[in-house]
Amino acid sequence: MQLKFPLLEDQNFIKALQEKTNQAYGQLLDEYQQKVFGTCISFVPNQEDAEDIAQDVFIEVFNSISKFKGDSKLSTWIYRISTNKCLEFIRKKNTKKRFGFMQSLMWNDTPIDQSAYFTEFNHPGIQLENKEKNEILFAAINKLPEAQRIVYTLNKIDDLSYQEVADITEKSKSSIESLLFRAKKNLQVLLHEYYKKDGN
Amino acid sequence: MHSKKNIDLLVEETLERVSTIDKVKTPAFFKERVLNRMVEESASKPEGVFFLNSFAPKFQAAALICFVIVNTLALLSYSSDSYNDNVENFAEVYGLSETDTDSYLYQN
Repeated sequence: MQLKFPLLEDQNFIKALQEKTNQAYGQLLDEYQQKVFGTCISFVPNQEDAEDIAQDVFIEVFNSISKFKGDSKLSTWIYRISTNKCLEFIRKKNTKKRFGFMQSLMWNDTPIDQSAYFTEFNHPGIQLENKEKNEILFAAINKLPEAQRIVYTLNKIDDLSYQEVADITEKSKSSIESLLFRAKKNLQVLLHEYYKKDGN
Repeated sequence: MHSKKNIDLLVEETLERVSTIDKVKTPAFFKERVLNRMVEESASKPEGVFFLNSFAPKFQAAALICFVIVNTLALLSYSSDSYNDNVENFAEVYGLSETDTDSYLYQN
C-alpha cells in the first residue's frame, strides 16, 4: 500500500513535490485534476482545448514548484496558474482571429467569426437544448473586461465562493462583489444588443 | 423582430442558463498522460540550465559591478600621453611618419 500524505497543504507534501517524486504527483493529480479541468473548461468551453490547458497547468506546477514559497495555499496557487494559462490561451486565440480577420479584409478571403475564442463549442456539461443560449453567453463573457470575466467565470461557472475568488485574484471580497455586479450589468447590455440585432 | 419585453426575457433566460451547466469529468487517462509528460519533461531538461540556475541575480549583479570597476580603472589609467607615444611608435615601425631615415633615403 502506498503511503499517502494526509494533508495536501502539508510541508512534507510540498517538499515531496519539490523533490519531484512520482507518488506525490500521482496524489496531486488525484486531488486536483477534476478541479483544474473544471476551471479550464469554464474559461474555454471546448473539451480538447481545456484538456490541453489542464495538462499544461500540471506541467507548469511540476516545473515551478521550486518557486512556491508557501505565501498562499497550494490550491490557490494551482488555481492561479490555471486561470493564467486559460487567459493566455484566449489571448492567443483572439490575436490569431484578429490577424485572420485582417488577412480576410486584405485578400478578400472568407470572413472569420471573431466571437469564437475556442476551437468549437463543445462543453460536455451543457445539454443540447441549452447549447445555443450558453454559446451566446460564453461569447458575451469573452467581450467583458478581463477582471470581470475572471471573477464571473470563477464564481458563476466554476462555482467558487467569493473568498476563493478573492484569494485567487488577490483582491478583497468587496471588490469581487463589485466586479461581479458590473459583469452582470455589462452582460445584460451585451446580450440586449445581441438579441436586438438578431431580431432585425 | 423581438419586442423589448421579449428581449428582456431572452436576456434573463440566457443569464440563467449558467446554472444548468453540469460538472464535467476529467477525460479518461488524463492522469497517465500528464505523468508521462512529466517524465518527458524531466528527461529533456538540458544540463546547461543547472549552470545558469546557479548564476543567480546576486551573482549577476556582482559580475556587472566588477566589470564596471575594471573598465573605469582602465579608462582612468589610460592617459593621453601614453596614447600619443604609442601612436608615434606604431607609425615609426610601419614607416608612416617622417623620420631622419626617410629623408636620408630620398636624398640619395
